[in-house]
Amino acid sequence: MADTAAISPVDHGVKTPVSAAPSKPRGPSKRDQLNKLYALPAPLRTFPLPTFVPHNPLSLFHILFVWVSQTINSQPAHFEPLYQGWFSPETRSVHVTDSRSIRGLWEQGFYGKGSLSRSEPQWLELQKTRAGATKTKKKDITAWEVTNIRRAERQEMKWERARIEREAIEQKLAEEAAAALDKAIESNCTSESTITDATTIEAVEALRGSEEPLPVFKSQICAPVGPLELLALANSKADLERLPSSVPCFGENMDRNFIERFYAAPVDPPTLLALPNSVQDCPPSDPISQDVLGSLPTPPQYEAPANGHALPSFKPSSMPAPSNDGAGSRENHGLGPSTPRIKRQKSVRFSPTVEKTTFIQSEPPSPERAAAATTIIEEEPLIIREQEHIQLTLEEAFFLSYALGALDILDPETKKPIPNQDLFYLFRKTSYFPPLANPSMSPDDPFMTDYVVYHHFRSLGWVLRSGIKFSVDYMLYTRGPVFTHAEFGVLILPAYSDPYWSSNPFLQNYVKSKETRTWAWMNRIHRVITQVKKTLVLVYVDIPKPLEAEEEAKMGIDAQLARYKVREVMMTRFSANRRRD
Amino acid sequence: MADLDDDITAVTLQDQSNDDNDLVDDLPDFRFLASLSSKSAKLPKRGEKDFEPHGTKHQGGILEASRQAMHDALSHTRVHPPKAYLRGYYYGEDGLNRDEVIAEELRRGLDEDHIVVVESSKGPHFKTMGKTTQGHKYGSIWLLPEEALYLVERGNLDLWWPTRSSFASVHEGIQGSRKSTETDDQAEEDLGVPMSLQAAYAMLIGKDGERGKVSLERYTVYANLKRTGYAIARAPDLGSSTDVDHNSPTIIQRTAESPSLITWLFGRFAERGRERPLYGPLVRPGMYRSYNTIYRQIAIIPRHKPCVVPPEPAPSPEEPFRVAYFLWRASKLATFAKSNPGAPDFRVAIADARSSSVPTLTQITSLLESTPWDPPNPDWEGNAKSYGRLKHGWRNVVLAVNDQGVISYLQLGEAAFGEEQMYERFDGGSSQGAKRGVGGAQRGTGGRGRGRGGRGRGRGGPAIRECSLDCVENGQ
Repeated sequence: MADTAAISPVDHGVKTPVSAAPSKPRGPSKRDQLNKLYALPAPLRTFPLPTFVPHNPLSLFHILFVWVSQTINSQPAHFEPLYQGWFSPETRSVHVTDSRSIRGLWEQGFYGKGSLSRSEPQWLELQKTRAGATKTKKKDITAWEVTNIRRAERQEMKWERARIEREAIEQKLAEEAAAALDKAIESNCTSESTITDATTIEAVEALRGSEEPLPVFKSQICAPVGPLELLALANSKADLERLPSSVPCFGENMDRNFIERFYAAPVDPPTLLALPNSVQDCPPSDPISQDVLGSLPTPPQYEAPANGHALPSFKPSSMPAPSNDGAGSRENHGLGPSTPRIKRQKSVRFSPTVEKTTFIQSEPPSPERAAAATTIIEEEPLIIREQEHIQLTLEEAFFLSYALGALDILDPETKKPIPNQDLFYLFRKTSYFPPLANPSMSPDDPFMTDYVVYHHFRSLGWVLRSGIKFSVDYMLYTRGPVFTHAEFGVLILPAYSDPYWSSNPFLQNYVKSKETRTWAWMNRIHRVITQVKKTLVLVYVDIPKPLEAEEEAKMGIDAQLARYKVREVMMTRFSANRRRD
Repeated sequence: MADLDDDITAVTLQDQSNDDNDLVDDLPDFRFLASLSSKSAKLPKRGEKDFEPHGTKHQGGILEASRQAMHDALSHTRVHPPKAYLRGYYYGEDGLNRDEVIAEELRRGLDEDHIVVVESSKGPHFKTMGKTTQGHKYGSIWLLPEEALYLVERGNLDLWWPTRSSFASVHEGIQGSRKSTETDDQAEEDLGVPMSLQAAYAMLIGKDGERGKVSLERYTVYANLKRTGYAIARAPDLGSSTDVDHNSPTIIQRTAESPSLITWLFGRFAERGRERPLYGPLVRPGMYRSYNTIYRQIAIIPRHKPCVVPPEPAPSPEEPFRVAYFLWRASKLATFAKSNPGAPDFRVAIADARSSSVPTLTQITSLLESTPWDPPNPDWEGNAKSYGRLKHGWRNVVLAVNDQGVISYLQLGEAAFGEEQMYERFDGGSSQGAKRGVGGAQRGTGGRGRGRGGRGRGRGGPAIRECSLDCVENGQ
């Protein structure tokens, strides 16, 4: 009961407006499910008293009852037993291996990263899907599959757009040719003079007005289908012949070469070449062999949803929609180029990037043997053991252990929890890369600067994830990556404004080397961040002067952290043209 | 990585039509030049990019039309009608020295750098440029080096080397034009020598500290902004700058209460510091009724609190990170007056990309503190606007990073994430219920539940005010 009491307020807050919007009587929406799953913002529980409803005096008794029962039987905020992680000096991270801790840390504040996944640990689920444990219900589709479907849709959309453009050009050419023909017939007198482009355009415009294009060109106007045909059109054929393998092809006619480049099975080249329908059998650049290409038997592994867009008959209409509810349709918005600029809701995109080149052992690349393999699977269901753990960065682990007290970090040798005091020095020592033989405890070691920023934003309620994908140190999420896109990218810059750091020339040089950043470097990062529609925040960490070891020990960790100052500077592009009026 | 690619493509696909990233970087479609007349002040917008020729005459026609428009624009005959002819004299260090040649009462009110005098104030440019001498009945107009060079470059000004008698003729000329009686026949004999464009550059471009010169970085930024349509003026020297506006009543109210908040904050830290175990965990085991309580326990790193008058003022800004120019939007040009321009819309600092690096904390604090207090709009309330508040910041400045003439403008804002406490959202609708009970579970921690938590949640100002009120209550 206490548990639900903790969860319900968060649920209520969001559920009411959402469920009111779409008129769907059946089941909770995806958003509600997310809200429920990720109800706790931290791996700690709270026990708020029930709301007092003034016109219902009974609610007062309810409050009293809850208060009394909670006072007598006090519930701890921490989950018992605490989550556990193992310190791994080799990877300079903390590994969490038991599934309860993994799910707990991910769902309550988005800590950690799956060792075999891009973000959320989803490896096992993915493997199950791949092994043939097909999911019947649409809503069971994993985030990873959603991503792939969206990728395929996007690719399809691009081809569609290219085709339409191509058709427009074809039509234009035909019209122009018709106009030129017309002109040649009707005016022999003006034929010597070169026709200026302007008049041609006019002629074309005029011709466009007339309903019926000349029947001669009708055959050309009919839409070319398939990438290869598109590419084989005027002006592209030469390119096609010159660079046969550099054109990735999707859609109806598969380019074998493309499959090879992107979906190559991890077998050695001779085996691959020996396969039926290999490159030697059908050179993809040859337009004559299109029929052969079309009739290529698709190897079974490509039928997995991972490679959905590689299917020969892949159409957006036949695609399984990610989900039918509001969130799903909203996310589909983002794909078209004509989408109005709305802040689209983020769909769950956290999924393992299990590379498309990895294959299950039991699935050989050749079609015949694959058929045999599937029958084997049917006979004895494959049992996949969980082989994934999550990795916590040093900052995450220390925050969980020191600030929230929700994690026990065990020493791999002694198998005992490491106390925070030792952890603090251990992490500071470990944070240097390449590892130093005899690291000194300086107040600006990498762990301290990063942790100060991490703690600063976490203590304000932000969710921090690594920003390496976006060229910065951290990304800031309001509730978590499954709910919203990150709005801010945090770039950590150390600052040495304490007079100690400018007290002698050696230190001055040191500080200069640490503080100096070129504008080229800054503009690169800024460019990437604005390209992905995020805002760059420069976070300056003011490093205090170093202290003696015993002084530090006396202070305690909190007093040491309190000596650092954090300043944020928002950096945006100033568009002189736009801001003028 | 694959998903990074995806994010980028997704973004570019989504709003190809309305991205605000790249407008500056792309060349305009020159076809629009043709329709550009002197009456419409709109600059041409870019057209759609075409990447490869696809053989249609239509495309060829567009390209040809665009080329033709560019040629037309370039080959347009520029006429300098005698009425608009404007002559200026250079009185810099390398020529006749201004202070030696010209009597003091005739150059009253000028800065050191005003080294070009013009014969008349005809034309639209002098609405935003130049400075008139004071104290004399007929003041003469003097230009700064960048202003003079800009006009020379534009073909509006003919710059001359003066002789000893040139200024007198200018002066008389001005008087004469007003009186419209005298003729300038005698004066024309000793006008001096015309100066070439190269000479103008050589005379007017120099280092920033030099008298009567402007550095090339500054000039490029100046000319770029001027061409874009802004009214632009040199920022006053820092010594004389009294830019910060202390008079707004709301601001005074804020300063009055900020000390109490700070003492409260630090008082809180001190009190907590004693309570906290040396080596954590910061969240002590026990029962909690709200996340507010939990998150306040882990707030140990001092947060920046923006203030009108900073408690520890940063040292005064140094080159290059100091405000060099004030900008006014083009829309204000109609009512713009040199003598009373009003508060500038933007302040620009100029840095050279090769010789300077990204500003350090001290540099950036000094730069920001030299700009006036500009808090986010008080109407932006509620959780939905928190990104807007954060991005706006509390002070801001434009930094033009000039890399050999390629300028990238950045806007730097003093952000304060500490003013936006995201954790206050975690308790959701329960804050009403949570408010009273907290003290019960945690012994002796009085009003930590913060009764009003439910109301002013997430709003910058009011929430802070409530905090400070709370702390007063707690103190009693």
